[in-house]
Amino acid sequence: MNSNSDVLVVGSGPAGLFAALVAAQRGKTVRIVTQGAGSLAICGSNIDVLGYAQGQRIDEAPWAAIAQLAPEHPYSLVGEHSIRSALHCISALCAKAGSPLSHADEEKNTLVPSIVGTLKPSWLCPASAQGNSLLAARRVLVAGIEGFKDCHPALVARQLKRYPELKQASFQTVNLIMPPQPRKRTLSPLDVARFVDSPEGLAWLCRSLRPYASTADVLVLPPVCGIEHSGSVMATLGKEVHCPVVEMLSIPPAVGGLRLRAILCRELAALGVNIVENATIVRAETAGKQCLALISKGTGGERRYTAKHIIIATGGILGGGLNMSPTAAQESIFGIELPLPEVIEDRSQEAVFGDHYFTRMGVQVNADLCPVGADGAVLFNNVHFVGRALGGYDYATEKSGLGVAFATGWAAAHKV
Amino acid sequence: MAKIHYNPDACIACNTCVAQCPVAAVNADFPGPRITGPASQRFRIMGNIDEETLHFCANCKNCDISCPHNVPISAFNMIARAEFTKKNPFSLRDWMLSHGALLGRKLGLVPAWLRNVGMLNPLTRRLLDMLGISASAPLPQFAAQTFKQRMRTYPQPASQRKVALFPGCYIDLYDPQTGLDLVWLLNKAGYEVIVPNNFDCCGLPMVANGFMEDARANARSNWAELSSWCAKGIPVLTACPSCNLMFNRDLAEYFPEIATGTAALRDAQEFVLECVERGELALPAPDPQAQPMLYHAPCHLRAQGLGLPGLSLLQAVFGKAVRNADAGCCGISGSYGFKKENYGIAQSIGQPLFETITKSGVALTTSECGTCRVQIMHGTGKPCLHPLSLVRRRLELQH
Repeated sequence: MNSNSDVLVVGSGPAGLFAALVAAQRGKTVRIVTQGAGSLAICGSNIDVLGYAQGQRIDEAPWAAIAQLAPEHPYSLVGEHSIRSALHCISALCAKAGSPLSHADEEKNTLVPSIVGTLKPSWLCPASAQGNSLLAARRVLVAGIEGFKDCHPALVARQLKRYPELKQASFQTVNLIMPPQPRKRTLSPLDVARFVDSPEGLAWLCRSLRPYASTADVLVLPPVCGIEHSGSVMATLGKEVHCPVVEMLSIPPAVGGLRLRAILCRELAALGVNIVENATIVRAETAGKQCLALISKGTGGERRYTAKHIIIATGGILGGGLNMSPTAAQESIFGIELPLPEVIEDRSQEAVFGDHYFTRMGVQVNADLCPVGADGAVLFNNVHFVGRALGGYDYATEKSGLGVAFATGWAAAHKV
Repeated sequence: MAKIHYNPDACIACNTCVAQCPVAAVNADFPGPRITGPASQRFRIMGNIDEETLHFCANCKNCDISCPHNVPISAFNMIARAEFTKKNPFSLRDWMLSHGALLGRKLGLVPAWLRNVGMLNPLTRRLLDMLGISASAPLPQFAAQTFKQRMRTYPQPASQRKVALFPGCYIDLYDPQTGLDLVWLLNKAGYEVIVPNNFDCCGLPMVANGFMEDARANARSNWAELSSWCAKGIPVLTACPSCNLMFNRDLAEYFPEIATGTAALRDAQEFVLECVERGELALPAPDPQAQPMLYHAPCHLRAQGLGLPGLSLLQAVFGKAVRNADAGCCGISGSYGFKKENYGIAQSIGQPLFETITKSGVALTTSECGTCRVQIMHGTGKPCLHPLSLVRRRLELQH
């Protein structure tokens, strides 16, 4: 079977879905081919842009620090305009879907608490977070959910107190009790968020939080404020509880990413973008500097996908976009060789958050996000790489994951 | 039974499958595919495991679809279920639900109306309910004549170009009209359709109910038959996504010693699209007057990596009047939703799809899978037809 489209996107994580959406909005016919549901199913919905540079936390707006990044960093390649446009686009999309994102202040990163009581610098947050209301609070309530074993409010409070920003604040803690349900599974925020999506769940959350509105300036919760209806849940909380609510960042199965994924997928369906699921790309047909087709394997044989432009959003080592063995590292579709230090010890550093080679390893690209070889020459003119398949950045230590995914997705969609 | 040891350590415990599992989303007793699949597999290898939640798995394959590392999660569950079934008392209910083809043959001499009276009257439904088949579940009705019987007298123009058809139990026993619609389209494209006698049930319901050895026996004869047609250069098609999944993906996971060589069953919708591409079948331009309809993508089709060719066909002849409901699993998963203990779970899973259909105001829905269609009609009261039937109608109207 042969299928043709203007744009073929491989991968359905944040970078792939967003690139497909922007290209479709620009009037292109788009097809997505994907193996797996992508990392949005396990990540949060806070969109970080740049939280750390050279190991220093960035409290101010990240733009100055972005201007200082190395030339091979994806942000340097796409430029500030693409980053801002991408953020504007995703904000507009979430607002249109009734789940607006906000940030504290045009000039500042927002500090978002995690379920282990750390503060992470982020940029766009679900509107419930109401910017830096946690830092402005004198009286903080940290609420856990009875049975959710990964979040201990007392630990969160003790850890948060170590930050100079919160030294003066007083903390209360509570474990909210969900109505009894038969349950053999350990409770996760996903379970609570799904319950809160229902009218009775929302009523329960409002009822549980209301008593604390008079004794706290901010209510800190795990990410439980709904998935499908998170926008209206947050609006109702605002009306009914009369106290700002801040959601903590949590671990998979996460809630925030599923909100973003639902919004992106709904918009893609409305734009008529077809998604071919559970298909592995097994090889590429190329001629000179053009990729003519990608071949996938599904039941009943191979399928050939042709397109004028191909956007590769296959992720890093965890997503399957990059393969690494003790002796070699390769991009997974085109087999682009990635340089690898010969001595294994040189590929990482002793310090956990050190400057590891393997975390920055990825495909090198030019300003059009087309892959380039070791000599800097373009390999394929109509292939654009986005998201974690790209080299030159370390999303975990920089806190730049969704920022790079959306910025490069937006930029690639404008090259097609 | 040959031991297959897939490596559970390919699972990195990312939890994507847990977030995407339709059963886990509505049932808090199911620990989810990651736990019953790869995580439990490590304990199974050591022979030390309590399988009390394994029965919750619907074998819908959403875990396999969502996994970034190709871990055969549902296969872990099904192979474990076969071991569980062997060690536990025989379930007549599970046997009945998974041996429909055999039952159909045994009952074949009884006229369909009598079979339907026998199976669907309130007294029998009460008895079946006592056996564990929910009295509320929408059991399909036997057709007056099976598809295979209808085909014996169905007039076809002879042609040098031939295809063989694997009807699958649903079309053969309950829905021969869909099969005939496919034959009509293939004839129109210049193909003569052969319905081989030697194909039996694909075996997927047997696997889902723990009867792995029965499935193996069917797989052996089915694969030999399929291979003989493929060797002659005659493509073998099916309009049923689950049969296709069983032949082309599951067989290799469960019975690698059987699924050898290059034989493959083909998705009939994709084949018809290829007929259009080759110029063998002309489709009319999209009907601007077409009534709006919603398409439901069966999970077992989504699991195959071949996209949604049935939807592409519909879009070609109905244009924007047809939209993908894109509202998740319908809940039925073959025989799963007919079981008394699963009926409520199946209805809860299907709720978002039912609501999407009801709110859209469409009068017509469409999907390839037979039991998905039964479930959609049960959940919404709206008719649900196979895409091929709708394509045929459009082509007939044109003339």
